[in-house]
Amino acid sequence: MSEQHANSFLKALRRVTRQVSLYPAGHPLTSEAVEGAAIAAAALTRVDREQILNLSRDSFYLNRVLLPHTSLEHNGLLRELQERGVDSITLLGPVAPGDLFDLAAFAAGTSDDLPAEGTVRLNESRFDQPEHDESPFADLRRSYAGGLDSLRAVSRSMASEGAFDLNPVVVAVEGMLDKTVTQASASLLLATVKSHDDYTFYHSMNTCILALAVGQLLGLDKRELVPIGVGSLLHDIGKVAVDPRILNHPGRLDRGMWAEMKIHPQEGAQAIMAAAGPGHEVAATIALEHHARYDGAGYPHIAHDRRPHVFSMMVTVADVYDAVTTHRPYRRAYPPNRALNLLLDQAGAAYHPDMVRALIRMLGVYPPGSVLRLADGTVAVSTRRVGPGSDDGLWAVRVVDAAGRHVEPEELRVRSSQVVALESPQRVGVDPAALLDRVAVVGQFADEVPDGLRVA
Amino acid sequence: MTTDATQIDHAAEEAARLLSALGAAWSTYRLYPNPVDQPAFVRAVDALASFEGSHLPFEVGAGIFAWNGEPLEARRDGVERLATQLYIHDVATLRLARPPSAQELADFFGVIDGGEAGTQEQGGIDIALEAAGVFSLAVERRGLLGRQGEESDHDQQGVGPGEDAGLSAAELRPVAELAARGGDPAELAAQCVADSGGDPQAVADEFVSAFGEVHPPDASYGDNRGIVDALAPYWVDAQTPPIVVFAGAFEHLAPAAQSSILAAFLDSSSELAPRLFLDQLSGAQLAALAPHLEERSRDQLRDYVRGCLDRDDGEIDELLPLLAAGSEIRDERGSVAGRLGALVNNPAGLLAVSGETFDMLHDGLTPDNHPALGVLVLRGLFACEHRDHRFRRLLRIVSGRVAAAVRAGEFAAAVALLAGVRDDGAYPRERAPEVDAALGKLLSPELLTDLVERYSDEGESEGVVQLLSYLGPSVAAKLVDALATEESPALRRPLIELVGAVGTKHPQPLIAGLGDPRWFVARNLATALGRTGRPEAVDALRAARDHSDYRVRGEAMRSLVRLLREQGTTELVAALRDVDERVRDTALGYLRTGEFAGVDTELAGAVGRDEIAAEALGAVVEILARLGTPAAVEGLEAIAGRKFALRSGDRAVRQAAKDELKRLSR
Repeated sequence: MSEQHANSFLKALRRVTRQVSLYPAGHPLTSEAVEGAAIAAAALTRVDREQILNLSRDSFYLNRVLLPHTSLEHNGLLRELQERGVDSITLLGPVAPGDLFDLAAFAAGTSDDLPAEGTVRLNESRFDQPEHDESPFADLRRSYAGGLDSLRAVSRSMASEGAFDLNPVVVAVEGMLDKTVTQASASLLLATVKSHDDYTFYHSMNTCILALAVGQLLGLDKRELVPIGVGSLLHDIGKVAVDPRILNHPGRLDRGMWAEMKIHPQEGAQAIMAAAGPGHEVAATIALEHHARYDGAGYPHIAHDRRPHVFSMMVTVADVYDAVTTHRPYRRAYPPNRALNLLLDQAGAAYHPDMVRALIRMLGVYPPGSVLRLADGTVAVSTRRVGPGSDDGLWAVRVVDAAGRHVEPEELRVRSSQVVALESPQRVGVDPAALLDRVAVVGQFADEVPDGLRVA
Repeated sequence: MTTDATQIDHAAEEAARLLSALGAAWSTYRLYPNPVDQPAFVRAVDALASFEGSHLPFEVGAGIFAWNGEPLEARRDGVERLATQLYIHDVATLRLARPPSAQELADFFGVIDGGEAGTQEQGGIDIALEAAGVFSLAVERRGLLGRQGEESDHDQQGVGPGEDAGLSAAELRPVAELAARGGDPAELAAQCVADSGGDPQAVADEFVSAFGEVHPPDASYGDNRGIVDALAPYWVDAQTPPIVVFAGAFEHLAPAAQSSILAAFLDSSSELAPRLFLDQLSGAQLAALAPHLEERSRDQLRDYVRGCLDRDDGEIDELLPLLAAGSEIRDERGSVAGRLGALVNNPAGLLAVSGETFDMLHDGLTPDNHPALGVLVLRGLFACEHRDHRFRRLLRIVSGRVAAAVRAGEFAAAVALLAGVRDDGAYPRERAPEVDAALGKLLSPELLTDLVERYSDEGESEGVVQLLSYLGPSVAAKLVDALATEESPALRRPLIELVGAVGTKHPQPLIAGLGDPRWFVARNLATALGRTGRPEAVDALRAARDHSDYRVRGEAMRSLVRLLREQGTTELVAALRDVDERVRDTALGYLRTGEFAGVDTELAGAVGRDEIAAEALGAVVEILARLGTPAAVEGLEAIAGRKFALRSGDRAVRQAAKDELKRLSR
């Protein structure tokens, strides 16, 4: 529960930093955001008045306890705070809204006054991170975060200079690729991370993971997978050139917005071709064609006489799957298997039928991260398939008992016939990826946990 | 007075403490599966135990409690949530009849934590609490019509989204206030019906008016401020955005009211908020209502849907199903799971990936095929890029890649890239000059020297020629210039060949240079033109036969012969009247080979027209005599019967012709 409170606080703090960047102090929206952060801080400090958030390397720690999922979800804020030299944030409840505003202003770079007194204090708590990170999936998360970092760097560079260095992206993909080989199921579960704040970055990372997994299923080797990984990671990079107001528009796009949105594939492909030498044509192809349909429709309209390349189509199915399973302001997230059904409906028309089949074969009926309501009223999160091609059901962890109470995750094997409904993670209050480090789930991934970190 | 005021303040403080304890307990209940065991819950129960005696009831509003007619400051956010939860259950007042036990308090929370539908089924929240054995906390329900009277109680209530619209929460009508507080959609719909009397149009008017109070029309669609404001509620999930509450409530209204509301929102869909409301509705919802709309609204709906789908045509019946929205995502679990299960469990059949796909994947990812992919990407980009500045950037990308390939000696890759861009109209025709100019800049003097040297290498000559040819006509012009200034004989020869080879694709710069007054320039270009094989070079070379320098004239003739091959007889015979012996001798040399057609006829004609220099006639007699055809005889007769000037040589020619005629007649 503490991680949940810390997560809510950081989410609220992030909102304040954004508002502070946009509006002056006293603006109603800023005040509202500060008020939200104060409520979140109050929840965090309710039990123990003093709460210390440490920032060390690539993680947040709450009172010296690692917050694995929060670190990933708020990776951008973590970086911003670290760039401002923040090592720790001490909250002394009840936290004053004015102090939160000062913290946000400092984090946003609009103020250089380091809050040292009052109810929010910076860098008062020294924390030496243990050499051994106890999280069994720390490497996996680090790779994921590395991918996010590389995407942010590329986006910043592209926005400011119109060009970027592709090497960090390649390094990030190679790191992620190693993990998707050795921790295949865990990385698929990690791909259920859905951040609203940096939607494009997280979506790109998830698309990358899914595309790499499909590629592995199809027997591609590492040399072949790296360019596909780079392409899938960068497939939306052209959105840097699209007005953020359109990207963040909370409703359906109108005609004018569509016209601007449709330039992002060519912007991305151009940027990759400009940035990279020979060897990255695959990535550019993917960026250019990821909205082109198998039947020749879609955008941009390129040629009458050829279909999009098959690996563009591979990334497209991963892209669509992740996009429709992500909650957007104007559209609820599709349950995972309904997303697969949508792809199946359009196989041979919008999507390459073989690629749709490969994705379904990889994910199964209830893909990892599906929140399942079972016949006995309990709620479980699917984590992996029992075996390919079998109807033996799947492995899952129970998170809510029959009385509707959240419980410590408990491993169980679920048959398809036991599933009565698919639930929305938000509705149930479950974050599938956050389960990764829970003991019961770690047990399920025992063969994927690095030596020395196995749970007894 | 002071004493009274102090007592009231003290009582208010007590009331606030009581609420704070309730709020703490409520938060703990919501956070933990076993709240009664939680220290925070126990502390709250202990705190409540200290409030023995009668208390005035707390009045319950959406997110706020009032006591003695005054709103109470919420010291914990749990208090606000508790008020909201009670409000949802139509609780008008809450009273602490006696301190509850921990279990009783948990049971109280258990009842109000359930859905209001459940408590309504039991006959209301008060009856549900009785049924649960909760008597320490007493509630009174409010009637729907009683809401109006409560408004004054909320004059000092806290800030809600409605205030962003310039109204305080207290100034909002009840429906709007409910939405502003992120209330229950069904509740809002019921409130709307109750407040309007139930007539569909009145319901619609109430709904639209309340929506307008929370979402003012001053933010125009596309306006930055408006977008930021619209987004703001989505950034924190703590409260459901009012617009989503309205969209949810819409589903609970009668179709007639829905149609009227839809018409109103379509009418103002150029404004941000109404447009966002429409965006919440699914295609299925809109399709169900479309038949009930008047023609004007249907047209507006059609335009809206076309805009959303970025389509210029199509009618709403075919377009609406394509619009997805949250409410369309219904529980299709059974059919979906069954369908997917059937596929997953038959991997050998339905989920098999074709061998062709495997091959395409592996082939496409082979490094050798990367350049070809690069060409496809660039062709695609050239085809779809209509923005001038981006088109120029594309050209820079191509230039950079070609230059890199050339530097690496990878002519095939450079040529493939250029061919991919140049061939088959990858870009619109009107862009050609821009492309030519950009690519032409690639050929620096240093690169040219390098390429000429490489050209001499047998293995690379073809690649060099193709590369230069694809760089465009401006490169041919540069080569012509280079040819004019190249002083090294060792480089000049391959350069001439290179100019000729490139001239096969771009002959015009060579033709233009042929008129150069410098004989060596004209001569070299004449040579090069002969290597182009282009028909348009013929006229230019014929014109060069009038050049003042014999070397140019001679070279032009040789090039003409090269271009026209056996059909070059006319050109050779024409050269026989050249004033320079070296030109004539060259022509005669060709004519003597016997490889040219119609030599006899052409020579006879030229003799008849007196178009052969007298100095060449002796050789002509030899050629004609060797041919011995009737036409040749005719030519010999013309020479034999000719009245020459009194020069010994002429007479000798005439005599030679006569001798040959005699010989032939034998």
